[in-house]
Amino acid sequence: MLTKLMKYEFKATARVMVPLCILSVALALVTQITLWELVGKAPGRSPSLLKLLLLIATAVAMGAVLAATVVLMIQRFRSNLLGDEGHLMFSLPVSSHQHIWTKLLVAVFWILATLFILFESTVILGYNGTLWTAFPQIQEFLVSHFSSSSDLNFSPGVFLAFLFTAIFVGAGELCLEIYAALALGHSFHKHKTLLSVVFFLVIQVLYHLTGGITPFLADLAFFLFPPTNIHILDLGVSIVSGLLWAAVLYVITHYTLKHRLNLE
Amino acid sequence: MSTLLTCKGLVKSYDKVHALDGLDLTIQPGRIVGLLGPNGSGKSTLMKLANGLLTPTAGEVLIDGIVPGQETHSLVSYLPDRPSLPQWMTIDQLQDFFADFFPDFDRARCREMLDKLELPSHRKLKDLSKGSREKVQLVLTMSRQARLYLLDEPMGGVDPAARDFILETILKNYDPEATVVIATHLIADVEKVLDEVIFLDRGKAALHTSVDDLRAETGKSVDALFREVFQC
Repeated sequence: MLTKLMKYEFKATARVMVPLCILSVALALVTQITLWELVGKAPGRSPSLLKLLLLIATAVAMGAVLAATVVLMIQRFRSNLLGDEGHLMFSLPVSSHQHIWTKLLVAVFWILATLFILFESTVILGYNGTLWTAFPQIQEFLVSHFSSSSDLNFSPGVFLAFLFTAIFVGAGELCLEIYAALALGHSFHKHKTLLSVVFFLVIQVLYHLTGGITPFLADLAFFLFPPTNIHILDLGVSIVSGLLWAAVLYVITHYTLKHRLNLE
Repeated sequence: MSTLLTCKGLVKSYDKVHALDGLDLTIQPGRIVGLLGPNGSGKSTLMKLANGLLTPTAGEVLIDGIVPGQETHSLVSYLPDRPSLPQWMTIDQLQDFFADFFPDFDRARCREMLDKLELPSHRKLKDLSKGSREKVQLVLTMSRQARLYLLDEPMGGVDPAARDFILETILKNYDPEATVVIATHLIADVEKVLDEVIFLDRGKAALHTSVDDLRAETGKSVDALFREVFQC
């Protein structure tokens, strides 16, 4: 049932996200081609109004992709589960776990896709013919910088794996913060939206108050894995603390949807 | 005979107001039951509790002896009192959606009803009129071969001609072993199909009897008795 739920969740979100992503990349391409052509052919000339507008439009499209990702993440959970559509969704023979995982996995996918699209659009916009020759230099910088404080076991591949895992966990953590706040806020009879915002702020405060766990985890990690690279260790600690916090938020969201569902 | 829907001391409160106030009720299989009552009597609340969309403040509601949840959703076909279908989907996509999640969804039956109501399958729900959207929702609900149908105001927004079709649809499509519970204000329209009536008054069952007994004992129609009992 999870795959079926995800199929419809992807359909519901893709109809908004895919056109925006295509628009963002296409505008970046058109802008780059026109600007490159202009600069390449006549270096002294300043870009025309049309070309400036294209540049602004690309920036707006990139902003729209980012905004749509956040708005969709909130709106899909709020209206599809806690709004009128919830009457259908919670009448399906699926569990609350499956509902949460569906929303979570699809939202994380779009967050990662958005990051990729923004990176891609920026690379296209900034391309000046020397980008590909710069890659070895970037790699060299990464190796020299991140191995400067290392002792053993470092490779850029391992570092990137940790980095992507940390981004993945961070994205999931952000989604669950919003889901837990919405679920708690909508379990009340009145002022559901206001209470959701209040719960989100409370979660933020608690998150920062419990941030004290991170140094403890870092110490523990140092004790357990003393020769590990410091940057990898930092990422590892942030992944573990992120997973712990996400687990707490998941339990809150699930408990509220299962035992305090309130579709008045 | 086993009961399909059971309420034991069921209470649901919003702040300090009791929408349901210690409701005791049993409904047997194979019945068409009218759940009747004025606004705020707790009809929709009972439907939602029976479908697990609300949690009881006290007491319990059971579907075939099971607390409402994932397991009972396979047994119950629920029509909410509001539009709950995703508006961006076409009618065809909605049929796929129901077929994906409900093994008892009868696509041929659904198509037949849609054709009779002249509802175009390729159209998106958001492009249809309010009445047509309600018809689609009802058709999808009645196209399942469920054991219990919970229909909350199934004819609220449709024209009188369509109401007859809807009642025909309910009568024609439901399994004799299944139970249909219809919550409505339009008593005169549904009276002819009902086996039993439940009058809900301020969260309690003021009356629960068979329609034949009611007519024999009072000499009145359900509609006339309802107007008398709930006279303002």
